[in-house]
This record gives sequence, C-alpha cells and structure tokens, in this order.
Amino acid sequence: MVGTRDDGFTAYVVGRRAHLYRAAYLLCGDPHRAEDIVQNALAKLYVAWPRASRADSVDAYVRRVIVNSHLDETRRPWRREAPTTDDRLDRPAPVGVTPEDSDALWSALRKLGPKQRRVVVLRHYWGLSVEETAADLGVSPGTVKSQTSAALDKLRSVLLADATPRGGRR
Amino acid sequence: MTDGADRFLEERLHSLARGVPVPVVPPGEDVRRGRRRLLRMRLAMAGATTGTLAVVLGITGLTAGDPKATEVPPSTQVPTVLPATPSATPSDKGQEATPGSHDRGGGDDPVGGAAGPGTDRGADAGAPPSLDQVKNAPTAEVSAGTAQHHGVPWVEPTSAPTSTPSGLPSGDPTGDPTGLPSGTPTDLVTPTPTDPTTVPPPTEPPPTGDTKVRIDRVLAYYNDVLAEHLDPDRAGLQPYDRRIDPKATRRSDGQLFALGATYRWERGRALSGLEIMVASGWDQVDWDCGATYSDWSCHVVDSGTVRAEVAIHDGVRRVAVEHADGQVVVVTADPTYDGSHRLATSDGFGGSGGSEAALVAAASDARLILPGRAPQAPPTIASDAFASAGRAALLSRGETFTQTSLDRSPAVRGTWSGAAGAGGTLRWSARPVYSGGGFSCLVTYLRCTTVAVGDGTTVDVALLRTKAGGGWLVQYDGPSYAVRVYSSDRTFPRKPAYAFVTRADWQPARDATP
Repeated sequence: MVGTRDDGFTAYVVGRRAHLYRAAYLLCGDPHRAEDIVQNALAKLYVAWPRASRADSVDAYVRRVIVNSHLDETRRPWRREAPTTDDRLDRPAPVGVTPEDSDALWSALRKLGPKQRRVVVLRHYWGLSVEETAADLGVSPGTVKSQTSAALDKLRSVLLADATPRGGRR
Repeated sequence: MTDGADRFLEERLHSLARGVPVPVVPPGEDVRRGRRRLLRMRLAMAGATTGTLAVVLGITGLTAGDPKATEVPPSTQVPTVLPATPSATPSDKGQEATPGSHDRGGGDDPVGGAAGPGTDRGADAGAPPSLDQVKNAPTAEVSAGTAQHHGVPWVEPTSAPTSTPSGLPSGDPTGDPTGLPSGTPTDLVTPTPTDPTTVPPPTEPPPTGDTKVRIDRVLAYYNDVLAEHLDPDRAGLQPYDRRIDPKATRRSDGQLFALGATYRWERGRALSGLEIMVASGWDQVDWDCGATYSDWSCHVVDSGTVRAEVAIHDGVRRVAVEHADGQVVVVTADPTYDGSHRLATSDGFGGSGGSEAALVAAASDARLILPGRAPQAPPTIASDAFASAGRAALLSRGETFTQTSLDRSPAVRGTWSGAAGAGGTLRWSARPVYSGGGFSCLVTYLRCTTVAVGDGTTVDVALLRTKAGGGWLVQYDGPSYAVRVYSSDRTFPRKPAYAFVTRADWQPARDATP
C-alpha cells in the first residue's frame, strides 16, 4: 500500500515538479516562496494521493493547492511587509530569466493582485478554459471573466507596446 | 484584448517560465515530507479519537451506576443489535458475577467502574434479549434431540412460534459467534500495570528529620508492622491500598501531628477494619478513657515493660500505648467496619488477630513512629491531681464545687456556689503549647490585658462578652502547657487563679534523651 503510494507519487513528482515550480513562481514571483508553496502542495498531495489518483485529477488537485497556498501566504501578516530593493547589497547575477524577459511584462505581472494573477496564470500559462478555471478556483465563470478582463487591461499597455514592433501581432 | 494579444501573452508567459531556474530537489525529499505530514495527521486523528472515547466512557461511567440515568426501559427498547461479536462470553459473565467484592473504592475507580464490569453489567442486565437470543431460545428446544453439539447451523423451524418468548434465555448460547471481534476491547479494559494501587512494601522505616515524607509509603510500612504482630500469614489483613484505605492526618503549620489509616481485614465475605493512628501526643488522639463522659469500657494493661490502655465498646477494641518519646499509638480493631454487622463482635479478625494481647504488642512496637521532624508533646499531667489542685487553689472556705466533667487533656468543669448565693461555672484546663494552645485575644473577648504576677511572669486576662458567657478568663502560657481558668462570674476572685496557673507543676518538661 505504501509502496504503491510512493511509486505513483514519485513518478508524478519527477514528471511535474518543474512545471509546478514555475507556475508557483509566476504566481508569487519569489523563488523561495515558490519552493515553499510547491513543497506544501506536494506534501498535501502525498496524503491525498489515493483519492486524487483514483479520481484521475492529480493536476487539478495540485493546481488548487498551489493557488490556494499562494493566496493563504499573501494573507499572512508577515507577507504583507513589502521588501525594498537595496542596490547596495551584493546580488548574484540573474540566472535563467534573461534581461529581455525581466522586462515590463514581468513587472506588470507582479503588480497585479493575487486573485487577478492566479487567473492569468491558470488561463494563459496553464491553458485552462474559463469554466475549468472557475472550477479550480471555486468561483463563478463570470468572476473569472471579469478578473481576466481587469488583469489584461492592466497588461494591455505592456502587451501592445511589445507586440507592435514585432510586426503588428494583434 | 484580441486573440493575438492572448497568444502573445501565453508565449511570453511560457518564455518567462522557461527562464526560471528550477531547483533540483530529489523526489525522495517530497516523499519524506509527505510521509511526515501523513503521520502527523494520523496521530492527530488518533489523539482526537482517544480523547472523544475517553469523554464518552467517562460520561458512561458516571451514569452507569445512577439508577435515575435516562435509560430506555427494557420493555420499550427495540433489540436492534445482534450479538455477532463474542462480547458476552461466559467468561465475561463469570467475571461480572464474582461475589464478595468489597472494593469500597470501586465506585470511584474510572477503570473498573466505567469501562469494565460496570459497562458490561449495564448492557447485559438492562438490555432485552437480542434477536439471536430470541431466535435461539425456541430453536434450542426444538432441535435439542438432533443437534447436541456446538456449531450446528440454525435450522429454520417449520412453524413459527405461537407465543412471544417472555423471559431471558437461561442457558449458555448454543451457537458459536460467527463474526470476528471488530474492535479492540483490550485497549479499554486492560488495567494499567504502571499504576499499581497497592503501595509496595517499603524496606525502611519512616524517615525522620527533614527528609521528604511519603505518606503512602509510611502507611504501607505501618501495615507491615501490624501484620507482623496480628497476621503474619496475611490471611486477613490486606496490604495498604491508597485508593481504598482511608487515611487520616493532622497537620498544623506544616508539621505532621498525627497520621493513620484504616486497613481492610477480610475474612471470607466479612470485612473488618484495622485502624492505626500514630500521634505526637495524647492531645492529638480521640481517647475518651479517663473522661467522665466516656461510654467506653476501659482498663489498663501493665506488663512492667509496656503500659497500655484498652477501651472496648460494641465489639470495637482500641489499644493506646504511649511510647517513650511521648508519641501515642492507637490501634483499633473494628469488626463492624463495613457496617453490615454480619459478624459476631469478637470474631471479625479470626484467631488472635484482634486479641487484646496482640493489639497491645502491635501498638507498643517502637517502629511505629511519626515520619519526618515530628513535634514533641510534653509529658502528660495527671487529670485527677490537676482537678484536686484546682479545687484547693480556687475555692475558698464555704464555697462548694460540683464537678460536671473531667477529661484527660486535662480539663475540669463544674459549678461553684458561694455562701451569699453567688455561683457560676468554673473551668480550669491545660493544653500543650506545642500544638497551638497559646493565648490569643478573640473577638468574643471584651477586653484583654496582661498582668504581671511577679518574677517577670505575666498572665493574660480577658473579659468575655455577655453573649460569650461573660465572666473572665486567666491564662498563663508556660513552656509546656497553657493553663487557663475561666469563671462565668466576674466577681469571682482572680488572684488565686494567677497563682494556680503559674505553678511549676503544670509545666513538666520531657528529657531530651528519653
């Protein structure tokens, strides 16, 4: 029983952990918090593995845990403190995210509220439909649409500015 | 936003995510964290279940012995539970019907009273016959000639019974239980061996000095000493059980003045009590011999080496021995301890267990001492001499005194009358100072003064309020005794009382090395 649980869970972690981490990173924008969220989600998944694997909805379960964990994290008092950037600190060179990717889109994404950001991530990174997103978040499709619209309005200027020089991809 | 912008956003998001460096975490780490979380959850659930079970069993235990508990009468109870599990095995019933249980603490025992026989008793006695029992009762009669052994499957009777069985099945169940026990009843009724109720016999006598005193161990030691004299074979005297055997202590200002217990003496179905009280002095024991109001039959046993006082009343025999250090040991053999009065008064202990000689030998055992730094009582004052000296000192010519009570504390009480028709209550007494007999001005005193009577000796004088009896009170707190004279008549002369209370005769001192 334990061996079955461990085998299935390990196979899932090997195949999906990087994807989960990236999604968490897009949600929170912090590598350490992203790792915390993923660890928490996978620990919960291990407990619920028999149920989640039987329902064939492991991804959906983990998605919900990640999104809710991120939302819970933002509600914790110590998360309300916004760290300030201090240029005098010795910082390592950015790895992975290229300078051109760390552009205005990334900045605009981080300026979104948590609920709008999770809608953007679920719909445009995870590729879910409005209904799937609504089911994942436990809200109505109308809420998903309105939050998507509001989020994209804020990203519009960035997207249009970036899209126009590339040949009018509208 | 257009579809192009949507696609562009998706491409940019994926491009952004691909650039995120993913930390390398072995999957085993996630498995380990998951296992720990799973273990925590299971432990929490087990704890919550145990707690809930404990609460339910506690409530059941509290209501099991209450005849007014809200329980559905058997006639209206629907037998919906089939005895598929062997919860009512004959062995359980045998345990339930064990006679002669004199466990006085059984009602307070949460294990035995709630989860053990109490619960089973309530279920077996109060519940109506279950469906299996009802069905098996006529079946056993019908198939008695064909199926005499266990394990024969139940055969459907060809005709339904015409009358409803009215009584409980009297025989043992004929069919084996078909189901396996699903619960873990041993977790509920197994006694905890780590919490013995019987205090193990100590190997050393009670500690003296400032050593920490363990009362239960001392009482167990007393029990062993008594057993050596009264019941060497332990045929009747039970070991000290701190949950059952009542103990008695007298403390003041952190000091232990008296310690005792009543042990069980079982003989067949009879239960007697063997009580011991080790006290610092006579003032700490209830001993009525020598008092005018005593209804005990008292006599003295003096063997030359041991002087004991014996008191007998209604079959209860008490022996008191004053040891060399002033401590008093009282051993009481009470054959009517359980209140049933089933025994002849002298037969409760059997053999020589409760005999006078054995009790004297036990009470005079030098190992029976108060533990710790025991307070030391002064030597006793002979009550008769104290009474006669008081009469001679306090009364004048022509006055008469009628003594109404005398006890061995000592205290004398009576009424005096003068030639001119005056009179009132006159009382004089002496109380040991070591146990708190010193003077204190009470609220019932109208006024308290200190009077110097010469040689630096002072006495306390108090005038009592009318509602407290009026009169005056003179007291002298000496090194051993606080001697007091009280008169209800304020006109009674006080100066003889000053001289009486300050007499050196009333301040005996005990040798440092008895």
